[in-house]
Amino acid sequence: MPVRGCPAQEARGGGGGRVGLLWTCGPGMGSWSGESGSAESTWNAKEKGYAMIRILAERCSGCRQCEVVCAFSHSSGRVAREMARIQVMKEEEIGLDCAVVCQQCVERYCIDACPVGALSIGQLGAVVVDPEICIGCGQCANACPIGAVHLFEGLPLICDLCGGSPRCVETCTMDALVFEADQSEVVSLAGRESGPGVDGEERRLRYARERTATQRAGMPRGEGEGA
Amino acid sequence: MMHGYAGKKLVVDLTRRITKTVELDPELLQRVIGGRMLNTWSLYEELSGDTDPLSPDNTSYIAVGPLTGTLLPASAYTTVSARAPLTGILGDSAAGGHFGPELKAAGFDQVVLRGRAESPSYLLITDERVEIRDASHLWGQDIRETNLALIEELGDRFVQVAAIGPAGERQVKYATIATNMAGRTFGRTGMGAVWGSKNLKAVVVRGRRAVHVADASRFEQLCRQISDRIVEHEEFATRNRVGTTMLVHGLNKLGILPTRHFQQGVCSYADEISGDALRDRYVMKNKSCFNCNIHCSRYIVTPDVEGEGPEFEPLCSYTSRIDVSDLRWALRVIVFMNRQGIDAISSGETIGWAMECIEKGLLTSSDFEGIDLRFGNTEAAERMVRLIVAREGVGDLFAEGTRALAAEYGRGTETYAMHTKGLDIINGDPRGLKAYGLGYAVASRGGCHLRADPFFELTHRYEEAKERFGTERAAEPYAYEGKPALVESSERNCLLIDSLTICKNIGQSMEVIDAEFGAEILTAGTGLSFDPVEMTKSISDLRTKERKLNLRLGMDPREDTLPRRFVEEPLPAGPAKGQVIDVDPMVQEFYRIKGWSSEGMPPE
Repeated sequence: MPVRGCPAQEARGGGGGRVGLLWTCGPGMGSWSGESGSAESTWNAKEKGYAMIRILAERCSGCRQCEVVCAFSHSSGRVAREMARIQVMKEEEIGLDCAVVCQQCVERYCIDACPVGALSIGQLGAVVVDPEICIGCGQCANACPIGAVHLFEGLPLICDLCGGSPRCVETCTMDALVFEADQSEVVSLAGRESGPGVDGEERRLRYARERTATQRAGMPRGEGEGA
Repeated sequence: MMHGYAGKKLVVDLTRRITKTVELDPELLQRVIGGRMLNTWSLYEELSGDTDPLSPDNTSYIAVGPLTGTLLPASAYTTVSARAPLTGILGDSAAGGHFGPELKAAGFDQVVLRGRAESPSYLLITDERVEIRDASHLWGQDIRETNLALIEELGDRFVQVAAIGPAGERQVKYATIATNMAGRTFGRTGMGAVWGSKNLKAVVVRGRRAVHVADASRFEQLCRQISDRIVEHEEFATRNRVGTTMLVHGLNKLGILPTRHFQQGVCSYADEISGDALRDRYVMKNKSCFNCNIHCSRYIVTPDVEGEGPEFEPLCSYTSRIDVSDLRWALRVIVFMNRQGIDAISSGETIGWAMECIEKGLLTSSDFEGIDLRFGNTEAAERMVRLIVAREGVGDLFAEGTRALAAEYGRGTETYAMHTKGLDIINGDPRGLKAYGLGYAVASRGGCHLRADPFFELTHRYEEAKERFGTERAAEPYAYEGKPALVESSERNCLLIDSLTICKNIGQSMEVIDAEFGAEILTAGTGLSFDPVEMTKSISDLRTKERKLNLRLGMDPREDTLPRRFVEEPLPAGPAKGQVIDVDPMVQEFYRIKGWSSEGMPPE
C-alpha cells in the first residue's frame, strides 16, 4: 500500500528531507524507504495475509491525536490516555515522541501467556479478546515485549485495527503511522525483556527509544545525549 | 452530569493552605464559555482597583476550554490571567502543549490561586488529590530542570508541569510561566511574576478521568469538518514545514519585518534568519501541541542548545529587531530565556530601545554600566539578558519593562519605547497593516496582535469585505476604511477562540471557527444549548466588561493609541515605503461601533 500523499512530506521533497531519509524499522522488520509506493514491491499478500500499523517513529511530532481518536472511537466519545490502544511515549527533554501499538508480531507473546485461552488471532491478524473467557489476570500485558497491551477496567486493550481502517492512521497528518493491509515484512519482537518485573510503561518507552535511536544522525551534538 | 466541561473549579488559598472544589454553574458557563472569557469574568467580579499585582491579594486564574481534551483538534490551549505586573491592567497569556488536557482529565476547568505561600511551594493536582507541596528544593532551578525534577520526584513521566524560572522568582515584570520543558510559554504580561510573588514555583497536573462529549456522532462529524478545513487549507504545508517562523519571509516581503528596532521594515539578511534557514540548519523534527494536526512546532538541536521552539516572535526579537543575523546565537539566547522564564518580546524590546537610544546619542554605554548596547552587539545583548534574569545591576531596571525603563532614564528616550499600555509591541510593523495597528492600540492587554488578529486585511477578498464590513477596502492592508469594523468583529471571534482555548493560528488565521460553528460544536460537545446570536451578545458583553475592568484598574482611554513613530515617521524603504498609520481616527470609529463615548467610555 502506498504511503498516503502528505503535504508535509511533499513539502520536504517527497520524503527526501532529513527526517524522511532516516526511516528505519525495528529488528526483524527489514527496512524500506519512505518513497511513495515503494512498499508495494516487498508485499507478500498471499503468503502472510495479516494487516498491521507500521510506526514511522522519526516522523512523530508527539501530538497524541492517534491516542485521542482511538479512545474516542472505541468508546462513543470518551477520551483518556488509559483508554487508548495506541499510546505515544514522550521524553520532551530530548525531543522523543513515538507511538507504540501492537505490531502483530510473529511470536504472539500475549496469546501464549494467556492461561485461559481468551486471546486469539482475528481475521486481519489482530489479537482478539473474548471478554467472556478473560479473567483479567494481566499476563498478556506482562508478556508483551513492547508494552502494547494494557488492562483498562479489568480487560486487556489491544489494537483491533478498527476492522481494517484504523482511525489513528487516517488521522495522522505526519504520516508517522502507515496501515499495511498486508505486512510487507513480518515483525519479530524477540530478544526484548518482558515479564512482570518490567513495567509496561517502561517497555513502551524502551521500544520508543529503540525506534527513534537514529533521529539525531546528521544533527549537531546538542545537549540531549547526556541530559 | 456535564459533558465537555469538568464542571468544577479548584480554589486554592496558598496563605492558609486550604483547597476546595467548587461546582461551576452551567448557566454561567453558557455565558462565559471557558478559557479567557471565564478568567476575565472572574477578574471582573473579584478584582478591586487598588490591588497590587504582586501582592497576595492578586489572584491568578488558570482555565481551559469546554472542549479541551476532547476530539476537537488544536483545542489544548490554557489561559493564565491576573492583574498584570507589567502593565497594571488586565493580564493574561495562553500556551499550548499538553498541560490543558491533563488539567481537564484531573477534573477541573479552572484553578483559582489566591494568597501567598509562606515558603516556596508547588501545587499538585490529580484526579485523586490536591496538595500544596514544598518546592524549596526547586527554587532557583530553571523551568526545564524543574520539570525534570518533578517528573522524577513524582515518578510519573506523564505529569504536566507549568513552572516559573528564576526570573519569575525574582518577579521580573515580564516573567513567564512555561510548560513542556520550557517549550511552550505563557509569555506575555508577566504572569510568572505573579506566581513568583505567591511563592508558587509550579502547578503540576495529572488526570486519568475520561473527557466525554454529549453527542458523540455529531461531535465527531463537526471535528472531521474542522480537520478537513485545516488540512485542505492553502497554508497547511507551509505551516507544517516552518510554523510561525514563516513570518520572517512573510513580513519581510510586505516590508514590515521589525528591523533595527522598527527603524526599517526590510531586513537584508532575512534569508539567514528565516524559518527555512532554521529548518535546514537546526530542526531535528516537527513537534506538536496536544491533538493538533498541523504539528507546526519544532525541536531544534544546535551545537549549543536544544529544545522545542522557537516561534516567530522570539526569533524576530533576537534577530532583526536588534539587528542580529547570527541565528545560532539567537537560538542559544532564546532557549536560555525560555528556561529562565522571561518574555522574549518584552525583553527584546528593552534591549532594542537601549540600542536605539545609544544610536540616537540620547544615552551612552556609561548609562548601562559600560555595556555597549549597540545594534547587533550580541555579546552585550546576551549579557543584558543574563542581568535581567538575575535582576542584577542595570538589569534590575530593565526587568521593570520598557515603559518604566524609559521613564526612569527620561531625556526623550520615552519616544523610543515601543509599547501600548506598557505591553511591548509585537513583531509586525503596524504602518503597513492598518487593522493590526488599530488592534494593538485597543487591545485589552496592551500592544498585542492576538486580541484581534485581523489577518483578513491581507486577503484582498474584496467582495466579502464589502458584504461584511461595508467596503472593499477592508481587504486592503494600507486602507483605513472598514478597518474598525474588521477589528471589532475580529476581536469577538478571538474572544470566542480564546474561550474555546483553540490555537489562534488555526481558529483565527486559518478561519476554522466562527460563531455559528462554535455554537454548534459547543452544543454537541457540552449538551448545553449554545445559540450563535446569544453567544455573540455574551461575547460583546464580556468585551465591555474587559473595558470596564481596565478602567477600574486605572487605564486611561487616551492610551488607546500607538507609539508616535508609527504615526509620524514613514517607513523609509521597501514595499511599504512611505507608510505611516493614522491610528486615532480609527480608534474613534472603533468606539462608535462599540457604542462607547468619544472618550472611550462604555455606557453604564
